[in-house]
Amino acid sequence: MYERDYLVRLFVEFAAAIRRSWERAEDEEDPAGAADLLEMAVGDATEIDGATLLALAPESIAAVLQVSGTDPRVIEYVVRSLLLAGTYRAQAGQGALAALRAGQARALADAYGIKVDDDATSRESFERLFEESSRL
Amino acid sequence: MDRTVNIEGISFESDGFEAFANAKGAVRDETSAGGKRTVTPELTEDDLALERSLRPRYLSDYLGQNKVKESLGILIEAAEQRHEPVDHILFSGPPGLGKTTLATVVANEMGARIRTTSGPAIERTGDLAAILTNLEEGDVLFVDEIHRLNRMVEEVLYPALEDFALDIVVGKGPAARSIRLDLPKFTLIGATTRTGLLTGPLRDRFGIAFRLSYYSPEELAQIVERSASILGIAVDEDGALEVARRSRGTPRLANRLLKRVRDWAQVNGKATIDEDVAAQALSFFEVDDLGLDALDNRVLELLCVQFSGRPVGLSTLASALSEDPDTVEDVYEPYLMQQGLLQRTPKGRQATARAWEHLGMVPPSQDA
Repeated sequence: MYERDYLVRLFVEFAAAIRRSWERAEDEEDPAGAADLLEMAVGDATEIDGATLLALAPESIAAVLQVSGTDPRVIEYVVRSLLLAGTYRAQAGQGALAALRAGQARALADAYGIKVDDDATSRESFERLFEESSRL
Repeated sequence: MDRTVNIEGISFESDGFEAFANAKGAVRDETSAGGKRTVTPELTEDDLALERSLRPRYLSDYLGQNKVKESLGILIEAAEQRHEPVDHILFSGPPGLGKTTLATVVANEMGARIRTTSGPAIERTGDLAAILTNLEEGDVLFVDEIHRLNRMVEEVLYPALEDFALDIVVGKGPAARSIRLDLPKFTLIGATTRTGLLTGPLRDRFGIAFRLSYYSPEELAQIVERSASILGIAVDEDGALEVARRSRGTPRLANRLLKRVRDWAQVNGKATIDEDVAAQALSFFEVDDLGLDALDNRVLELLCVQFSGRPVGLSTLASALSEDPDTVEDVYEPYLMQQGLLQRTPKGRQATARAWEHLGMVPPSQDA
């Protein structure tokens, strides 16, 4: 029960951060700020200093999260958030960071066997994920 | 496979040169007072392009610093025989003596890639984690100005150097625990101009430390001749020696002066740089036979003429030069003291007998 509550709280926080990032990127036209929000959410959810975790090479971030025993359901949020952050970084003209985020997302998805569709960062896809999570 | 990574201000590439340029930019800003002088040993924009073409790639091309070269040769050969990376190396010494060049030489000799960054560029522990986890087995990580690493970053570096491991804290409060991530075996090469500012624990983690010393005019003349041949400049033995004599024992400066002399010779229709051409050109650029420029001579004139040879406090001297005291202390004084032209006494800075002689003047005591 405690674990379920904990996961639900994480998903709610992730969903809130993702929604805020949409507003930040589209309404406020601040893609870099939107990416910051998502990266902060990843740090909070994994309880690892975000600045350190997200600086790691893709293979290393996957290794750290596997060793830390992070729940695979949280990892799906992490993967999608990193993909979305990568999109925002690219929009902000931060090409190298965008590539790094995409690489990290791919490495994590591979390590956890998570299938990432082409529309994984669309609003519709995220809304479906939020809906599935709410039925936990 | 070549990779270029640029993460939040830190960039490093397979050849490391662009990153080196970026990192040096930050350092150069803080020494801009010295950056405009022809004889400053600090790296300038011009030097970057020049050094790219002139840097020796292997120990056999490297001229001077024979003891360092011999020791490095043994270190590298032993490591190769054991199929291990070379132990961590610290190079120290004044700017322009070849610390960065030696780092690339070590990497080339080992057939390894070099990743280049600098102490001030690694602001956070995450920056270092990024660099370390992107290394591959046998890579050389070159950290210039390593004495400027912040202490938090240094703490992360210790296990990386000793155990090739990166410790990452997971969780918060009582649930916090540390995860140890294995790193590939790599060689850290640190370079510093201020060994005294390195912390003891960091210094102790280098397997070997080399102090680079100033080059003799003869060694510098060989470097000038080598650079001239690469750049297609005609220079004879005496011309090379004349450039070398005025280069303050610093290869970077010798290469820069060679370019200035080439410019002068070209404009004045001199096909070959001989002793006379070199002397005329360098006098034109106000670099005298001791390698002093106009600012150095101004310091000596102030001490000998304006202050009549009396000891002068640092701040007074700095005010008279319209410079800040740190610049006077770090940029002007070291070479003047090495040349025995200036001494620091308890009462202040004072010109030596050699300084009076250099200015063609007689010290007051003998005058009276």
